[in-house]
Amino acid sequence: MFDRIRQGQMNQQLTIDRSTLGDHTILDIAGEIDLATAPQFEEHVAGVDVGSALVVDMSNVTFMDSTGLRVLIAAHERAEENGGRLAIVAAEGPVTKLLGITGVTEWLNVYTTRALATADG
Amino acid sequence: MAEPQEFRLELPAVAESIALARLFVATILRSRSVVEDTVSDAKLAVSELLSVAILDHNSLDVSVIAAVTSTSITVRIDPFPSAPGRRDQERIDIAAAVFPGQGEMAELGSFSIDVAMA
Repeated sequence: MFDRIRQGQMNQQLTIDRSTLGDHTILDIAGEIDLATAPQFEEHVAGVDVGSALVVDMSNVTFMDSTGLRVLIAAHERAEENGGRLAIVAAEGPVTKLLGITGVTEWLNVYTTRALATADG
Repeated sequence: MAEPQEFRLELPAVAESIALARLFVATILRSRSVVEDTVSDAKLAVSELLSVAILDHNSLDVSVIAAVTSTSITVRIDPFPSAPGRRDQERIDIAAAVFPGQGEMAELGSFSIDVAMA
C-alpha cells in the first residue's frame, strides 16, 4: 500500500513521502533538514508506531545539521525502548558526514541502500 | 595588506533565514573556486552557528558577514551569544569540528577558510 503524505508550499525545502514495504514503514526524505524544517521531520517520524520497523531513507537529503540529527537520535532511542527499530539509509554525503563528525554512526543503524536496511530486520 | 572585501547579509532572526544564509555563504565560496567539500563544511558551520544566534532570542535581526581576502574567507555571525547553553554548545562544537583548530573562533560565532589551500 502506498500512502503519500506531502507538505504544501509552506515547507518547500523538505518533502516527506510515507510508504510501506512488507513490515517496514518507509519515510522518504528529500531536501534540507535544519532548524526550520526539523519540526516537520520530527512530526512525521513521531507519527510512526514506535514499536515498528521504520526506515528513514535520507538518500535525497541535500543538507542536515544537528537539529535533524537530534530527531534521528530521539527516534532511535524511542524505538529501542519499545521493541521497534530505526534504520537510516544514507550514502556518502552530508548526512553521513554529520553522523561521522558526531560519532553516532557507531550505534545508529545506517545503511547505504534501502535494500540493505530492509533486509536487516 | 589590502582591506578585506566584506559581504553582509542581514536577516530576520528566524529559523527560515538559515537556508538563505547557507546559500549566501556557498555562493561566495564558490565564486572564489572553493572546492565543494569545503563549501559543504561551511554550510554546516554557518547553519549550526546561525541556529545558536537565532535561538538566543536576543535580537530581531542577525547578520552573516563574509570577509574575503586573497587568501582567506572569514564568516561571522553577528550578534552571537557569549554564554550559550548546553545544546548551543553542541552546535558550536560541530562547527568547530568541521574546521579543526578553530574552536575559539566557533565560540565567537565565526570560522575561516584558507582560500589558497581550499
